[in-house]
Amino acid sequence: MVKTKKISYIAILTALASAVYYVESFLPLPVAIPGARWGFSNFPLLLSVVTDVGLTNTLYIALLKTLLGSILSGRFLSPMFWMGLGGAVASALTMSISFKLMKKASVLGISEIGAFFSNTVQTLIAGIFIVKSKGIIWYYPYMLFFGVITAFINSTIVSAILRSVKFDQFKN
Amino acid sequence: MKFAKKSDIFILIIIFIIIFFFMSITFFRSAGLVDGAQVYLKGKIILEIRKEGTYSIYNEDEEFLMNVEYFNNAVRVNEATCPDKICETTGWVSTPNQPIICIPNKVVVKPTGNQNKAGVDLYTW
Amino acid sequence: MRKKSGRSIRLYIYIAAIAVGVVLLSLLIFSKPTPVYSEKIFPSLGTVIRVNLAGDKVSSDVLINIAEKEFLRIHNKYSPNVQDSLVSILNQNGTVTVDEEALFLFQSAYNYAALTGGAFDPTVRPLIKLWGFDDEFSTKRVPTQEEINEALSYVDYRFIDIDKDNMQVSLLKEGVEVDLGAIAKGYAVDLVIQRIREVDPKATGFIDAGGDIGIIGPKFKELAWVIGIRDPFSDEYFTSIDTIYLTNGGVATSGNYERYFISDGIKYHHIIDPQTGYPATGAVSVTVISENVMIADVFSTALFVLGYDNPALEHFTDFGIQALVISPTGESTKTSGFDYFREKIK
Repeated sequence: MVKTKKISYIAILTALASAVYYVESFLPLPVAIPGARWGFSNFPLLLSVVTDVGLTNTLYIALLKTLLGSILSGRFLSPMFWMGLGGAVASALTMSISFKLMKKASVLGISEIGAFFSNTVQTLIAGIFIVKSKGIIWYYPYMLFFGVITAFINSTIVSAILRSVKFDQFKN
Repeated sequence: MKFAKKSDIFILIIIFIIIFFFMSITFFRSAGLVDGAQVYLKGKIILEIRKEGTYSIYNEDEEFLMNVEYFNNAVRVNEATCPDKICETTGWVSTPNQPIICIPNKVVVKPTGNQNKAGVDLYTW
Repeated sequence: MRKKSGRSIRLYIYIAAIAVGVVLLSLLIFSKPTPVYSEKIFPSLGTVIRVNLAGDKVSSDVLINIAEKEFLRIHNKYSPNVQDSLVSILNQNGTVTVDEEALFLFQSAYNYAALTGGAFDPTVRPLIKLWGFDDEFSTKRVPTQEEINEALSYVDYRFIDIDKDNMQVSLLKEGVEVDLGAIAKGYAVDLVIQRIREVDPKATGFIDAGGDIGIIGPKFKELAWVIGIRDPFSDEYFTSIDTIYLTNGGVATSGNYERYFISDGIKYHHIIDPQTGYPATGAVSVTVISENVMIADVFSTALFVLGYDNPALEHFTDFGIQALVISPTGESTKTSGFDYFREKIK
């Protein structure tokens, strides 16, 4: 019973994240990096971290949302796909780790850390594989700054969800 | 689970310090200093110079064309085989805005570095 | 109690984040990330073309490729040093069938020659060849007076006959040779800029074709490009005698230092006066600013030949140009509107 619940919960989060990932690629971003995105699709990821579904499951969501989202937007296996995947995996890893390490970590803190590493990895991938230029360093601080804003919005959403939805704990 | 804690402020401060660090790098990076050179033959890059020294340039048929010297943040061409020697008379170039051009040998030596925001961008001649 | 303290921290963070966000957002709006310029340098049209641009919607590399292809096409079509270019065929057979573009170029060359009273002349090639300026590797020497007189008899733009109806260009005298070099170079720059603007209207940058410069758009979308006019009296390449500021249009300079050789202590340069057959000595440098590079290039050559003592200089502004002429003794004269480009606008 618990297992079925867990699977359906992860499925819901994945569906949510993929949908946001798809819609978000239409939002304009004032930074001229191909493939750069706001990162709102990270909030289901954040939700999965703070409800403690476990690192493996969080990574599944990260992988699946990039996969589904990029198939929907027709960018599967394009350089932008690798950027998104790298960012999603990086933020899934760092958010899970900081949730485990920091006792009584807060939603905002985890979200900021995740956004920071996600943007760093995305900029690195863009700089090495797409733009192939050190000039990308010009855009890096702007990316980070947008990450801070997005992370703040994401954590507000997640804490609102936490307050209004009663979650079963998935501790085995 | 709380939305925010006092420790979050430290995380935010660290992130903002990193943001400002990279912003200031892009603003104050040694503007206009030459940090190397690229050598183009017929529009294709054939050599990247990063370290100080004298480099010999050859064409596809292994014929010697010229020496490129890079010392003290400046680049010049020496001992060119072209008839007009315009590239040699160009002398030391210490701004990334201005490439050294040898039309007969179809070689361009382009000093690399951050492009000057101030000063002359290019020359009409 | 615990809940309350949690709330107040949250409030503080909200306020702090909003404040920082507003400050940074306004910073961001006023200092948008600067475009990153890409550059490509390649030989074409007897000189080295330097394309430096930043795309807005389209990647800079794509735009640079468009530019390179266009230059290659024009080089192969009009260079007299390419075996089956239109100009080579014309020079060999005395007649050639042309398309619209070539017709336009031949007609322009003819018209500008007529406008400048032959100071700019597309048939000057026999003289150029005689002096050895047609190719970097030709032997350069001072010809005898007889040789020059002989060559001069082939130099007159009126030997070109343009038949618009049959799309044919022919030469009326055997031995006459045409060189569209100057016009084709300027035309190529203008055409490439037009192409780039069609693909990406907000692209910025410049094209430098051996000192003939066409501006694609302002530097970082807001600043004028700072263009140094080379000091004709200095052996150093990159010392400027004056600076001009351009956000669009083109500029070209003709100078006696570009291609030259020294024989018996006298400097002979590559701009030959079509009337005398000797290098023009009336000026050492002429810079012309115009709406497009082709016009700037043509008039810089023509005004160089006409020299410093040119009473009609101001009259040339009627053709949409502004000029700066430097005499062999270092004096300079300029048309009334030239100073406008010497002032920094922003």
